[in-house]
Amino acid sequence: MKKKLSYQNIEVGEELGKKEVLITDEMIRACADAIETKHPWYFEDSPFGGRIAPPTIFDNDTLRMLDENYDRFGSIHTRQVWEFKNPAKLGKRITLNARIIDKYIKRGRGYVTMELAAIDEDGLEICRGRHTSLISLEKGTGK
Amino acid sequence: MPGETYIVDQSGKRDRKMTKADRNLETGFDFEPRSYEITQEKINIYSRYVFHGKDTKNIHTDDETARRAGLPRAVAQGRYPIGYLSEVLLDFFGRGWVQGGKLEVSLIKGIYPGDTITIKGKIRDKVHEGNTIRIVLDVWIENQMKEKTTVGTASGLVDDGGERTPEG
Repeated sequence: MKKKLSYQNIEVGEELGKKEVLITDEMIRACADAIETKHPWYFEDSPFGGRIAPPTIFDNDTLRMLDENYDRFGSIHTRQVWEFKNPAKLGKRITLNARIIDKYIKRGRGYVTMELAAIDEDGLEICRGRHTSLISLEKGTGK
Repeated sequence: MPGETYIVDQSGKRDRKMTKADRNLETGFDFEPRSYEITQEKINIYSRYVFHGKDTKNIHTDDETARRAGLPRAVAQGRYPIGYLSEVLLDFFGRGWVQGGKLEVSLIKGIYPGDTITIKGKIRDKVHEGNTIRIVLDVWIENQMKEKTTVGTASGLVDDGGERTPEG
């Protein structure tokens, strides 16, 4: 059973899980459409040998993995850090790991920071991200 | 074609070019700004993508749900400023963004349907990193009122052209 997402329920250090993602043509097109790009590296070929996904392809996976553990009414993305190491290539299987690395109160509202790491089937590090969201949408309640 | 950078404007034409990051660019250089229009339709399409094709009522798609969360109305997903920024930086750095790009931004103000946002960036530093130079930029996004909605730094790698630090 999922826990309700609240500042009190969040545990720093908690593993949000691991999941495997296959980079498909559909994924690349959906992501590229959403951010309005027709970059040829996504649709034709790239200097890396074949098509690649937009570097921010895993932008939503941190929240998706949080949602597998917590019942979330809503949250507001307030900060993002990305380090891009290598391209996520079409047809590669990517393993994502996410965990909670921090929580804090600022101006009476609760925030959570999660870290996502992506490694492809060849052991190549693809990217690492830190996503911070405001989770206490009612000021002062800490809920 | 691999190695070339095309810029795609919102009509889908490949006719806008962007200055390519290069070791010779000086600090203080501003890359060409790029604007995007945010519409509720785009937000809904993206929400459907996030929720595996389903239409859902959430703070991004429904004004009432957004108000219950203390927002004035439905707000665009944070993914928009981050995704757009990354695309502009890919066009600027090329492969030095895919292999070595770093982005650190704060989303300080909501972006709403009807807004036009503009991505801007200015080189603040150049640092040797092995056989490359890391170009560090201040990056930000402004809305049509010239209010900053997203602020932070980004960096990517360019070839140092054989330049070496005294140690290297």
